[in-house]
Amino acid sequence: MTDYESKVHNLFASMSYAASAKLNLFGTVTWNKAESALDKVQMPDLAAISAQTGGDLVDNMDYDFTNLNSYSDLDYTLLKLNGGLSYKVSPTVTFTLDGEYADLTDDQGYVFGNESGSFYMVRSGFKVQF
Amino acid sequence: MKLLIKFVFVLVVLLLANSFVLADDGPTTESYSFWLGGHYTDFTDYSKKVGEYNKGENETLPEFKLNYLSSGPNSILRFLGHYYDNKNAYAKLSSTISNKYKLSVQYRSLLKQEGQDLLTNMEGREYFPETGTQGGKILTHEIQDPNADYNTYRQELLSQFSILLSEKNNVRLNATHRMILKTGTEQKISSDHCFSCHLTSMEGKVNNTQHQFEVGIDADINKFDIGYQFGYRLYDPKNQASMAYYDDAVHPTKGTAGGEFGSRLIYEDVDAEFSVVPKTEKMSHKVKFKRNFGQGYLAGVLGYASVENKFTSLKSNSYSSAFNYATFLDSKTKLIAKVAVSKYDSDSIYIDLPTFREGAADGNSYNFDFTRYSALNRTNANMSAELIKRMNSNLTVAGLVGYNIVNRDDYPIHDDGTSTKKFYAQGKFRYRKNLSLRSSLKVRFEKITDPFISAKGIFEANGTALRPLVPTSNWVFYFQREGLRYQNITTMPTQVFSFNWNMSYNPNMKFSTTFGVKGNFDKNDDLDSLDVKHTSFIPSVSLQYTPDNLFSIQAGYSYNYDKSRLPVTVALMDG
Repeated sequence: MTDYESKVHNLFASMSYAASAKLNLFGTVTWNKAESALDKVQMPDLAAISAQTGGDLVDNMDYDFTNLNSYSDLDYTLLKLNGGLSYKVSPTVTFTLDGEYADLTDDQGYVFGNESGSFYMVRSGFKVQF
Repeated sequence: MKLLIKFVFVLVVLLLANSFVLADDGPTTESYSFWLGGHYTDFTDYSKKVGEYNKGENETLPEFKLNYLSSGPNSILRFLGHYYDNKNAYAKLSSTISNKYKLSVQYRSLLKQEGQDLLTNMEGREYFPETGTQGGKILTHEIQDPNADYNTYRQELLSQFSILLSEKNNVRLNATHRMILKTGTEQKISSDHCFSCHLTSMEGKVNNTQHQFEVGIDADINKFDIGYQFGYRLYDPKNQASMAYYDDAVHPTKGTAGGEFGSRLIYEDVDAEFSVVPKTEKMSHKVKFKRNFGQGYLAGVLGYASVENKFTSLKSNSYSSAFNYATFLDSKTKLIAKVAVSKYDSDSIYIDLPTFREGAADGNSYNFDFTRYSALNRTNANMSAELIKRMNSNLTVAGLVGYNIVNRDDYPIHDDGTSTKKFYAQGKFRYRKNLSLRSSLKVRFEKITDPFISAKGIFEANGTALRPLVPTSNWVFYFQREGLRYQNITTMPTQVFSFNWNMSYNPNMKFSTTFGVKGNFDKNDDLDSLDVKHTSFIPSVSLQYTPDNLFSIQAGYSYNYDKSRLPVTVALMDG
């Protein structure tokens, strides 16, 4: 028997601002941290079992479980930033520019290897309304 | 691509049909918007997690959006479209004409990056400290395609249609069709179980199709709402079978005694399919009714569904019924009573296994053929009653009690199953003061007897010796160890306590806050050697500030804590 503990923090903030009749700004920040871990696993005392059974075939194996609990550790931190603007060039045409950045830190990479990575995306274009 | 072509075809047909129907609709107003641009993406280090639903390439791509809305005196036609890249797109056309016709068709696609389990910790070997030697119990792994780039591409086409057949009795026909295509590659892992117990990882093809179709008719006859619905679903994996070599059966370390080890396995020294997903077909029928009585009502649903594995012809049937009755006992007190009964029945299957130690010189051979009766077979009955009372203009309270019983006919033993019983009680309080303060609290308690178990699932007792099967040998076979399992095991609770509290406070029109806490605590200490517990709670807070119509800001925080006390089992085997 052992304990498995998981802790997840989520934080976000977003804003929008109409700086003028033509210019709108917006932005979002999200931060997420997730940790999970097993407590130390208390395996049977093999010496005691062996003494009890007289080295019986069923119980005379010995494995090293020292790091067993650490195999299930998870520790991720994800930061996401998003922001942009729209500018009304004319009553029917609007220019837009926005971007997104995400950074993931994996401090316990194991199943899929170290999954730390980041990406950014920049987007721009024109919107035409009729 | 085929699905996209179908979508465009349906789109054109719907636009033409809509134009025809709207010909005499009268003056309409139309608005269009078109966004044309592009995006650049850039990835650093491992891209499959941070860019799970992105293509994961450093590239510049065109992107566009289209929005069209036509509003008439009696109709609405809308189109939304967004092309992000050739693997991520969305489009929806919807039309409503008075209350007679509603139709929509929607297409969406996305790419999902799939990871590769490196099997890093899937290694271990038996060790004898007294002699300093290693034993035969061993686990190894092999990855045939290191650094593989797996991903799957999902496309979905959803069409919905509703038509009022008759204004008398409000007779309406509804139909929905959903088609999902999934293609790509993913990791497949075969588990081999003989001379060196090992896992082999390789690329597996994904190519499956789902069709879901529902058609139903509803009517309102003499204050009686009645309806019938037929459902059909087909899942076709178009089996792109993965193949693996199953080792020749020999002793793990000595490489001898092939005949003895081979008799324990179903496959040996052969290439065979693994990870086969069955083609399944489901058909369902549902009849529903509702009758209003003054301020109360009686409603019910009767259903039948059948699922068939088309590879093996195994079937599973379910029968369900549910009835709700609600009435006002007085002007401030409402009673809601619910009863539901369902039954699930799956075909049994005869498992034909090779004879164990067939032809052994000592004559100790065994036939392990058996009939497997499904653990899913069960009858489920649930009944509850809830009383809701408005105490005053600010406060409403509600109390609910219920009882649930699940009879499993064939688990753990055929015709000698178990019965899980659950009693639950719940209280709810809702408080509201003007528009500035609202709060609610829900508290629930459950008491369960005989929760679902893994029968004799706990491993052998320490210190229990086994007698060798063959008197002239000291070998103990794995099937003998089943006799050492001494206790049922479960992670399901016998007692559950949960609560959910939230409050919103809006002192003025510019500022608002919400607070909340959810909690769940359960345990099972009825088992002799296990003490299972789960604890979780989620506090949260959010704020919103809008000083004027130009600026607004929102912020929030939540914390999710879970703790489980559970048994841990390490699996390590040889042949």
